[in-house]
Amino acid sequence: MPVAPTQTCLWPALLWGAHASVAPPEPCPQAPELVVVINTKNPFGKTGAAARTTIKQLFLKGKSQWPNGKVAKPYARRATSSEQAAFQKSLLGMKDSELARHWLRIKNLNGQTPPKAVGSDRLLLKFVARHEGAFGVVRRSAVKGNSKVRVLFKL
Amino acid sequence: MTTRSVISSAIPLVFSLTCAAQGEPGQPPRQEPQSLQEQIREMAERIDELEEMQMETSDRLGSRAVVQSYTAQNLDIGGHISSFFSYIDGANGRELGHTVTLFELYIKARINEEWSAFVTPGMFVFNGGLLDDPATPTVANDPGFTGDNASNNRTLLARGYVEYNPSDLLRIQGGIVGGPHGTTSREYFVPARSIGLGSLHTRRFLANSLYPGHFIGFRASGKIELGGTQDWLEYDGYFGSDDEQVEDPLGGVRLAYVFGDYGLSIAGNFGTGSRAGLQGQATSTVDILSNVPLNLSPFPLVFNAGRDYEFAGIDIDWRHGDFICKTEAYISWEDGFDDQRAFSTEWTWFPTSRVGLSYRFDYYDPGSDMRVVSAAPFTLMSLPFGHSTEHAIGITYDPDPSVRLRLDLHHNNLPNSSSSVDFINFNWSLSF
Repeated sequence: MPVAPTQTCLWPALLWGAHASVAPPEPCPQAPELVVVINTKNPFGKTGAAARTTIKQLFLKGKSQWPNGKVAKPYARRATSSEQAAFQKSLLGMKDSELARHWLRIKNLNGQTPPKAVGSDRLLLKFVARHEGAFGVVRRSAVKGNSKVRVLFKL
Repeated sequence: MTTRSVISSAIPLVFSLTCAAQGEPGQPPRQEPQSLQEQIREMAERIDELEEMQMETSDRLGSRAVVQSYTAQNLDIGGHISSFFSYIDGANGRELGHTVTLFELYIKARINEEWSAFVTPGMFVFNGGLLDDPATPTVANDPGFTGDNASNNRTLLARGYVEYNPSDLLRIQGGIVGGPHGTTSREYFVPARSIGLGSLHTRRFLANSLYPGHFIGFRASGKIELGGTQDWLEYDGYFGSDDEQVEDPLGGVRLAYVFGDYGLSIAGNFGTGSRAGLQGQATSTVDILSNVPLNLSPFPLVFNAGRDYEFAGIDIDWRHGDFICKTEAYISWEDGFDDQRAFSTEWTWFPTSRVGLSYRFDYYDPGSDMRVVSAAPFTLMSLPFGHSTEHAIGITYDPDPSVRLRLDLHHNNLPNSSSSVDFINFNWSLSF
């Protein structure tokens, strides 16, 4: 499910409707468009739902390799970040607690660890540019002009 | 280039850019292009990021030494500590005591993308809980707890293997390996459990019951994608020996169909092997007389008589959002003795992010075994154990994703009897 587009905030709008003499409300700040990026050298060619399914399986470590056999290196965002929240809701379809239970189970099944969490877009792009199998979620505006990564799909 | 050197080289640059933007002291500021302001802002952001990263790293390391691995690219160290306390209400009285405290380290070392090692050295103190079992009339103190001294804690190695993982299609593990059978046994480690105590047919601590929970040998497993669907096949095949019966081989297979969209997997299982018998190893009648049910089980820890066996079973594991359902049914054909039969179904719902509610029903019939029918003269005879059923309800509370507190209430219908016993387990796991 894509991130909700920017709309006028509901409550100020209602209040404004109730008090017409007050100045019209400011629109909510524009939610940044988020995209999943992979390394430019990664030949992964799936799109749409197939691409989303692959990214989900790789992130949750149900699979460890891209279709070309290259080992996947998923990166998460900080748990408190809006990027991670959108990624979990839109792509994984999981709540924080559900994801925490998943990682606990994975750890106890075979000792695997969750993906490393990265703080900034810039740093995540550097990681993705550095490792051929890497991927992560960033704001689209951060990708502009970066030739070492490519956008796979938008959230 | 180190963080410090990046910062020290960036500061003069920012300073010069700032001077350029504001002009020399005493001179009127020049009108600067927007891009310069943008560069300054970006540079300041980068310095902030670097400082934040350096502080975070410094906070984590402190002034302590950094661990260095010899050849591993990655070295993950974690583990858990779990403690169980039980209150038993049986026909002969009530007892409250400690059952087991278990500490296990998880160490995973990866030397490259294909080769890794996983080992879980552990220690435990075990005061096996004795249910009030009429089948063990020689034990005077049941319900009760066996003695163990914390200073003499025992060690265990539940997993210790080398893994070769060239692709998702093939993963080979060799060493002390976990068995693929059973929904709870497959996961083995306690922290992820909703009900701390294993189901009746997997309750024997560190011992294989109906199917092998762990063995010494090789296991090959993998996932096969089914084109055009979200589903896949999982396979497991293994060959080795029981750690108590190393001279006899065991082997088995598991084939699962996983419905990716629904979080549902259905697996068929088959295996064969030999069970070690206490009878052959017993040095005195005491060994057999002391082979009593421990760890809140109504059945003994070890079979008195060894035998060959074959087993088959079905596992169903369904995980959907805050809902988990695990069900398994197994039967084993025991050479010279009655069949074993087991069924377990466990349903868990997490109504909030921290609280889980569970219900489990277990049925277990361990078949038959050579059992003591007379102490003087000492006489053994093949007799059925009878079956036991158990209802368990549990509540879990996770104050932190790495801490789980559990309270389980068990109602066990004892075998060959109309008697039942109730016990409450309070247990917790902290994993790190």
